[in-house]
Amino acid sequence: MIEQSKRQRAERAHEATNNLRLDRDALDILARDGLISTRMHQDGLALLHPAHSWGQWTLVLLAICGTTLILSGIVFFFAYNWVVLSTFQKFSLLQGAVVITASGATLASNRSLLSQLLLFVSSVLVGVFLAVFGQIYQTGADPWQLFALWALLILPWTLLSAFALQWLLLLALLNVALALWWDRLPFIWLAEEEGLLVSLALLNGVVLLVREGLVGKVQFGWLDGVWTRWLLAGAVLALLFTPLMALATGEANTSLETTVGIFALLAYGVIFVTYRFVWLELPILAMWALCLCILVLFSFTSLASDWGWGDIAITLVAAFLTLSLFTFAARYLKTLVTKSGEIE
Amino acid sequence: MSDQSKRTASAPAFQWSDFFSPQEAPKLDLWLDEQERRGITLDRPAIKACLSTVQEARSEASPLYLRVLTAIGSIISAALLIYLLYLFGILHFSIVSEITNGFLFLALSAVLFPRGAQQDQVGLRHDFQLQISLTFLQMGKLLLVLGFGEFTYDQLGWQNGWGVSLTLAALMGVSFALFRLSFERLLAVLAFLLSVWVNLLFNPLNGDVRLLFSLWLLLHVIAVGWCLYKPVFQYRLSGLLDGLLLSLCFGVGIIAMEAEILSQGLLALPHDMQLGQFSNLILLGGLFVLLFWIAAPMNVSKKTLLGAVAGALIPALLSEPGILLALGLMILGYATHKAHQSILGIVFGLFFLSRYYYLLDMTLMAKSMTLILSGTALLAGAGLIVWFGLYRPVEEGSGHDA
Repeated sequence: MIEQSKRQRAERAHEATNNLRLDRDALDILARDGLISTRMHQDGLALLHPAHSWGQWTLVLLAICGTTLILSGIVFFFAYNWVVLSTFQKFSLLQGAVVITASGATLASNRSLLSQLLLFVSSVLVGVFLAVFGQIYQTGADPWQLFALWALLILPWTLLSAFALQWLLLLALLNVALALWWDRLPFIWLAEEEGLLVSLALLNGVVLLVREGLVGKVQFGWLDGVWTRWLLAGAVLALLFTPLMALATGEANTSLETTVGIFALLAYGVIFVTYRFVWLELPILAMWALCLCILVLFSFTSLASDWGWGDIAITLVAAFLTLSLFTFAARYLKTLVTKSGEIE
Repeated sequence: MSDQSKRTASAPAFQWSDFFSPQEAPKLDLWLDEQERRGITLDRPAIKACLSTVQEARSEASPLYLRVLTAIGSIISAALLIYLLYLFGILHFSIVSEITNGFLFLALSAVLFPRGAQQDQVGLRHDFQLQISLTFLQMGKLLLVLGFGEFTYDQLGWQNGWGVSLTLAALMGVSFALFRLSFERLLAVLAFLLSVWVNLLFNPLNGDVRLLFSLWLLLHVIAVGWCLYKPVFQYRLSGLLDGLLLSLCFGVGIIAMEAEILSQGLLALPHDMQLGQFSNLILLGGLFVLLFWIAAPMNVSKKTLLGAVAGALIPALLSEPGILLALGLMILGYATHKAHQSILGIVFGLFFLSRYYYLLDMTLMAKSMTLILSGTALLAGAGLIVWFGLYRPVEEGSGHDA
């Protein structure tokens, strides 16, 4: 029995080496055991890391660090001289910096690393300009207006940038603007936390929807990075977790809380169906499963407490419920991993 | 067409993601096929048998998100079961009860953990058995740490946390011996190493704290080097390297921020260690070992190697161990195709670089000039790479080496 098992495992490992990718460790082990020559070892390493790849890596590292240090130096320079600068000089300098970086982005080769970085810096400087404008003229505008205007001003650049980080900046600004605006809402019944959470979830959800609609198209290749999907879906799940928890534990007392809870439940359902059947996205399903396990556990303890169960009974059932829930979740995800052929 | 010319023809443009990890490596089988087409005779069965060790270690590990999910589940259920035992009156928070129950649950965990033929099974029963085993393991570990910690503190009169460290070391040994799960091992390694850092800070026994702290740092660097030079052990002891790197980040973070910790009273450190220079030397040594590990098997020119060494010396001259470690992590992540190590290095580097300039004892004006000059120096370095064309793929037959 043991021999058979060993043989089966050896066969499986043997088959699995068919999917093994070349890496430094594998090459070192083969060279150490004399199974490949020194020349082959060197060739393999050169294939993994051609000489120019280290050059490119160092170039990017130096360029990013150098640019960041110079920009920080400029910021420190103005911070030191800020008091002695006239209003005209302050605006000229900031506007000049925006114009220079934006022009640099235009002149640099289209959608290159440099042009994307310059456009990003320019977008950040627009925010600095608006903050200084508000400080000097004491406009009395609400903070949300600053963020909304900032987002509006960088929108055209963002549309042209083809740069995920630039879009992330715009989305962050919109989220902050919306959250700040919510406090100013005249409709009292809406201006509650639940309404804000749903609005933020809708905003991020719509962006996620647009992303999914565009991904895969040649001109939107920059959206292919799967991290954008994880980030947006994760944000929607996190934002809707509290209303869903309120619904599940029976703490949704008002009609608004119940409505929002039902909406959150539907959104969780849509996310599951989308990332299980349309695009199989296992990390999102893992986040979804984690939220659901915690949700079921909390709703059980809340309900059991309402039913008058004692501490021992609640803890006993909760412990076995946790074991079962996480086991089922892991089993389900493992099945999907096997189907998708994902091996770490 | 030679391999060299193929590389030249297929070298793609640099993408953002390439900074974290270079483009995906080719499949080993395809590479071996290509070597055979070039007339090289290979012992394919022997190669496959040799690599099955690596593959076995890798296929053991489920994707990270799955391991995290399982770990969270086992921690929650362990906490609930400990509370349940307490409610039943089976567990008392006394030394004897904690140690007895700790050993009991550790033994149960070891018995239930799927091994041999069981390990190959798939299905709900197997997963449930694994989840229960991990839950019992967390319970056993927690209770043993509590029990032995109290025992050494109260009964042996150690009056410090070294009892906890010793228990964690023993539990780490148990994890490596009995539980072939890389995430579990990573947590075990990390818990032990971090406990030693903390004990060295607050309870440095009778030794010179500076010497002990430096020695512990040196041991980390040696262990990381050992993992790199002995990849087979790295796979057999999966989780060790990542645990060492995370612990190194913690230790170097303490060393780098010692002055602030002391001045702002964040922690009541009993000693003024002033470890900056010691740790710089150790980390610089580690960085040289890493560069040598990367360059040794390749046909690297002296000029390139000298450039890399000079590049490593610059952060060392800044006397900022955090930046040195960040650079090492970024290089290691890129060399081993492990993006998580690169990301760790970037986060660490961003924090310590901004902290370095923020803390410079200068006027804002002088600081501004220093920033602009150092930024210009880095851009000049980038300019040299462009000037010598080191970022471009090697032309066929040019004889241009690395």
